[in-house]
Amino acid sequence: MITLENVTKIYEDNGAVALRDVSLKIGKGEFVFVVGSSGSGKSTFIKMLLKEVDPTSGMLIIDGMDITTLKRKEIPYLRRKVGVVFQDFRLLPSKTVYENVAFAMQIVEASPKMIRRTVPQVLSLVGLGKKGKAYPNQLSGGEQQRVALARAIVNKPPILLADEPTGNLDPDTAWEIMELLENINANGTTVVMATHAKDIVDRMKKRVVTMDKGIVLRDVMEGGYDDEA
Amino acid sequence: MKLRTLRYHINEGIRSIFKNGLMSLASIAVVGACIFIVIVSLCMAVNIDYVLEQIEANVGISVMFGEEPDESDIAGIEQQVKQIPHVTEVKYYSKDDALDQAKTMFDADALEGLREDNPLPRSFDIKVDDIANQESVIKELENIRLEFEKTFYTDKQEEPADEQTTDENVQTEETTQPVTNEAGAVVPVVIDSGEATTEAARDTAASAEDIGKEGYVFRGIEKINHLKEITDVLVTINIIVRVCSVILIGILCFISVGIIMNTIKLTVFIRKSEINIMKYVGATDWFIRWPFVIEGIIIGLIGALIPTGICWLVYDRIADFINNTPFIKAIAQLKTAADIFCVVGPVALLIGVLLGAIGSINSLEKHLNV
Ligand SMILES: Nc1ncnc2c1ncn2[C@@H]1O[C@H](COP(=O)(O)OP(=O)(O)O)[C@@H](O)[C@H]1O
Ligand SMILES: [Mg+2]
Repeated sequence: MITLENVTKIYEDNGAVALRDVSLKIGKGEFVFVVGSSGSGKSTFIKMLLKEVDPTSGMLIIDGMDITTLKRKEIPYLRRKVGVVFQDFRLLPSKTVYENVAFAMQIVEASPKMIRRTVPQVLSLVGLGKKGKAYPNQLSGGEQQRVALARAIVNKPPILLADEPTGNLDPDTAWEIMELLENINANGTTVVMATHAKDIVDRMKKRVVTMDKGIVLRDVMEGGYDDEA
Repeated sequence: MKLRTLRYHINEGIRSIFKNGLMSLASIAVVGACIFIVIVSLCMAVNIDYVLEQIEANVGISVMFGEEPDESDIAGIEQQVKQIPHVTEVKYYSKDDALDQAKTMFDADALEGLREDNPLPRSFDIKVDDIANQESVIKELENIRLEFEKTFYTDKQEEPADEQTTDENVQTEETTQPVTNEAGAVVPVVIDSGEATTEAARDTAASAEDIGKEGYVFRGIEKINHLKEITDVLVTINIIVRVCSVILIGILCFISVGIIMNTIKLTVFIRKSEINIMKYVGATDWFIRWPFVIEGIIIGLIGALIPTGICWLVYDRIADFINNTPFIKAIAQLKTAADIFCVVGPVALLIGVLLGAIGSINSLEKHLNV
């Protein structure tokens, strides 16, 4: 589903090497944690999969498509295949919960009928069935992240990326989000989550890719945060 | 784009205008002020043009006759003058007409005593369609004058044709005439009178004294008056006004786009993070642009409608006043509000729409590269 071959990313403006000759394969339906200390290159990895940044060298294949050669105009269509949630939720503040989720469907020109049917379904799936009319600033952090998740999956993308999705949440709320991610993964979506939350990684028993200064230090199936290779 | 998507964009655009109420008002005010100035300068340009046209139309050419030509001579000349291209009107003033005119002009009945032995000349008042064509008409008049002058001599001459053609094979009437060349053969020569007329007239004149030379006093058409100074000034003013209004409007449009761009840039900047988010969700550039463009167009439209309405009402009053004030209306009339605004109105709306659309598209570009 996701393949990286000898990917290196050097930021031109400051010369920082964010990824150093990374090769990695993530299969369909996998749940992968990308862990590592701050500055180890996790976010750069996620951004690359969204084509927000381009690799300096190497090849990047998503769903059978080489995205290093993707044209600017084609980026939106890549992003419709790759749902994403962030630490800071990134909801549209002027739209209600319902509209935030519906927006993702309006982009792909779904029919109003389809939107009216699907959005409430997805909202109740993330436990927000009754919050459709609320605005993001009226919600708690956990609720906002649920909205973001609902928006990310409403078009049923094959891949879901999450960059520190629990970073702004208290432990209990964080676990609720993790349960949702696990459900989404159980329904067949490939999930890649960047995090440095040790307890979460240790308890989930999923594949763990550990990064350090831009290189892949360890890659362990059903691993923990500090596992040796 | 599907219809439902268009509807979505229009909804978003309108919603955004109300959401950013103060900003929208500011933008409308800026667009309105710019378009107001454009409308005012357009109205001025159109009217100056129009007034000049009227003044030009009143500046004619007058042709004064000497004592010698009789009424049939003058009638003949009138026919010729009417044939000149660009001449729209030829009006004849007899000696009595001239005296009547002078009497009213000077308000002096005492002039009545001159009626028996009237020293005032008979004249034509000639109108030309466009002031730019006056010079060519005057040239034609000079030709007619020369040719006519010539008749005072040729009438008395015997066998004028022989004299005219011996040297240069030029003559005034189209005829076939045998000419003996050096070899002694007789060659028929056909000459068209059209282009050669002037040459012929000068030739004849030269042989019949010095018609047209310095100090010569014309006996037929004594004078051709054409107020060259006034017409030259009018033509210059006309050009200056046209050039200035085009430059002024150009500069204003430029400034307007700049101000609108900055205003919308501010709106866009405020919504920068929103645009970012939309891009993460997979929106295309145009999907993001459309609501902004529609917002810009609506702002531009409202910004154009308000000054158009105000200017229309005010202009209507001004035109009404000027066109009904006795002294001013004698000189020139202004265009009516309806006349002007059936053109200026759509132009203003179009400018508003374009300014809004261009402004919003331009100010967005930078933020779409995520
Ligand atoms: N936009 C950027 N410009 C320049 N350097 C960057 C940029 N983003 C990240 N970096 C650098 O790249 C390295 C990896 O950063 P990042 O991918 O954000 O790591 P993480 O998400 O694991 O904290 C760091 O050294 C960081 O300073
Ligand atoms: Mg990071």
